[in-house]
Amino acid sequence: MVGDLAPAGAGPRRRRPTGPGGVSTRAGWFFILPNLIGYLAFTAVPVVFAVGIAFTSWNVVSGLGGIKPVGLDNFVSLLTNQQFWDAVIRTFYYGGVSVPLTLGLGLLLALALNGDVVGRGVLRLVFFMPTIANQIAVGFVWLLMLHPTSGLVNLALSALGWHDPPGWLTSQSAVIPALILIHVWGGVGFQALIFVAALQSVPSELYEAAELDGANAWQRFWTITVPALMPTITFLLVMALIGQSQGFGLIAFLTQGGPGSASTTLPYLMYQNGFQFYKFGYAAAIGLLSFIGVAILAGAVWRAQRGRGLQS
Amino acid sequence: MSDTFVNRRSLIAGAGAAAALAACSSTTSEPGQMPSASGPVKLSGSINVWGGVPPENGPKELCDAFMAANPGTTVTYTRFVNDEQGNLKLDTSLQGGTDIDVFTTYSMALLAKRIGAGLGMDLTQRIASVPELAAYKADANPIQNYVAGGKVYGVPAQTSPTVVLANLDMLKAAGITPPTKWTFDEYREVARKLSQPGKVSGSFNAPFAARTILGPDAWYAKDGKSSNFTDPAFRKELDLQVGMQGEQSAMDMKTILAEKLQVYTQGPFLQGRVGMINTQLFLVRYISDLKQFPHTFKTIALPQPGVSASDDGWNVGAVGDILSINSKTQNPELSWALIVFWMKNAAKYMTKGGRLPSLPGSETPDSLLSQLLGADMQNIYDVASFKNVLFERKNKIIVDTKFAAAAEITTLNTQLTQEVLLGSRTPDSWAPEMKKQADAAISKAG
Repeated sequence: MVGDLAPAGAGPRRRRPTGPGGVSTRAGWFFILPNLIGYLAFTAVPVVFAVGIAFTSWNVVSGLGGIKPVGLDNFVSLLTNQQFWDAVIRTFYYGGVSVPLTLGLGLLLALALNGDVVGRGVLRLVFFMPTIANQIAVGFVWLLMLHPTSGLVNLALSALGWHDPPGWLTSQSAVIPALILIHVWGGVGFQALIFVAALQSVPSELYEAAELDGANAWQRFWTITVPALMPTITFLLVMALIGQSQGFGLIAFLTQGGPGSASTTLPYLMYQNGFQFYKFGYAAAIGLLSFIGVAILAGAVWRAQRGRGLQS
Repeated sequence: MSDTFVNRRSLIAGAGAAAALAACSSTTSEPGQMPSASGPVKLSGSINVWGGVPPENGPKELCDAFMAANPGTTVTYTRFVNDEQGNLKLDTSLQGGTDIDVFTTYSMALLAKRIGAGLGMDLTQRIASVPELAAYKADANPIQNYVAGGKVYGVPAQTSPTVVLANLDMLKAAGITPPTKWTFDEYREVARKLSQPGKVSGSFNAPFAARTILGPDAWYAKDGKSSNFTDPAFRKELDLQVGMQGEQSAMDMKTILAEKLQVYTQGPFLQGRVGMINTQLFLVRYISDLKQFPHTFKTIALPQPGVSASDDGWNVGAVGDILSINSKTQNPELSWALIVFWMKNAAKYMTKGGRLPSLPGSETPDSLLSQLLGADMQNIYDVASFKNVLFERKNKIIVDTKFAAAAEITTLNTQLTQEVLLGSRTPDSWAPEMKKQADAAISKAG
């Protein structure tokens, strides 16, 4: 800043811009205070509390007085429980397919919508609609569409010659693919929208220069578009991983973890233990382990993208 | 082990006792006063009542009547949704000191949890002091209430036997005389006759054989420290489920899951897609609602299938709407007065909402039926069959006493049974797996 470089006492006298206890600082605190209070009350304190109760046995009904410290019992119990590991595998399956698929299709859609397509604005709105649609309404529509015998999906598959199409939400082997399908359909529009915004900020001179140098479309995409989008890809990937570790609404509404336990992922297992079995310490331990898992994955994503951006 | 006997004699005896007490109390106390050892107590103040029934289905009218009978008192009724989140909201509100005086619990397992946490006031003496509530005393025989350490903490305002509701037109078309007594196998035979493959399943579900045979605490070994799922009664129930699904005399699990019919059980019955359903009485709310669920057939009530020709077994219904007082209430007298009023007048105000009262009050079986089944009952129901099943039979309703890991076992049972019915688990592996996992859950629950 110029002011910082100017000799002391030089130039017109100005009010001190910021400083401990200064007017501007106080005003700043005043502006962030509502959000800070909300954050502390509804995020920070509950998170710390949840971490604490992961080391206890607590059924909520007995109140704070009923919290009994159990050390690492919840974690030992979890790590030696087959249901937990089954849920981990399902979560990896569900997230491991749906997150990259949503991201990839979102990018493809964004590339298409970023070109000279007739009705581009309307198409963007159409693809973004699932993101803002009511999740319960969306669930109901998919419930009807995935009906094993009278659903549109299986009627279409039958018409195409598949005589024994999957039972989707009623099949233990097809329920996760069905959930992936719904997840991808619901998330691709949002990802495309963010990608379109990022694509529009890529300097067009880079493409022009590359074209003059004889780079083909694939080379331009790989050496300019992907590095330019790397911060966006990282952001969307990390957000999707976090969303996957928290999201249970679709499963709660459509399958309740079933058929059998075929769609009981970690978030649903956590909900089940907390809200159905009243084992809040155990549920918090599942939450804490999920958090650690997502943090490791997010860290790995962050490390992997370093040095691959356009600026790098 | 405990049970609840609901038959005409007990209802009429109860009605007589209620009438006698009403006459008695009218001569000893003024409205707004409660008799006590030291004389009438003037009721006053305000209380908050939390229940799961929508106010318009009876609670509002009942609370208004209480306030009218007790000038100077105010009762505020708050509805919570009786699901996982709703019950958790009630629990945290009770724990957090929200101003709740009377609360309702809809399952004995949840009541046990609340009482264990000290949320409910000991009502042992109060219940013992009201003659009509004798059936709910801690030492009643048979026990019809949740008893913890020789004390009782609530009174059930509703009794809900399980019955079979059947499409009378379908029965007639199949040339079937409605049975007044039948076994599981006879039920299955009728379901087979009603079935039209690809169009109609004879029954929505198979009979609940295990609990009918075993009675209270069927899931647990006698000492309560392990489970009981290797008992042949559970295999009998599973075989009925698998067999009936296989021959299409019961709706298949795939369709039930695909259409979420485990939640909307009324749908297939009222659409004529099934001929019969094993259910509790809440279904009459939908059957009576011809606007939302138009149908032309008459519904007949049949008894729950029994173990054998000579043994009806246990009725797998429930006693419910258990009224308790918050242990932190500032107004226990008014709270208790409301509970007694509720118990005595549930017949008058709550029956029309599809809830059969524990005490008939001054109502007769006919007047209860007219409230339960609605103004159009003669066109919608075979009324005589309801009278027979609900009031002229001895329904031995199960009241469980053991609840260790009950929620986990319920989920486990649902999961493993679904796996069998969807074909990914053999019936033979069901019992050992249930026992293994349920035993582990019971052991952890202590």
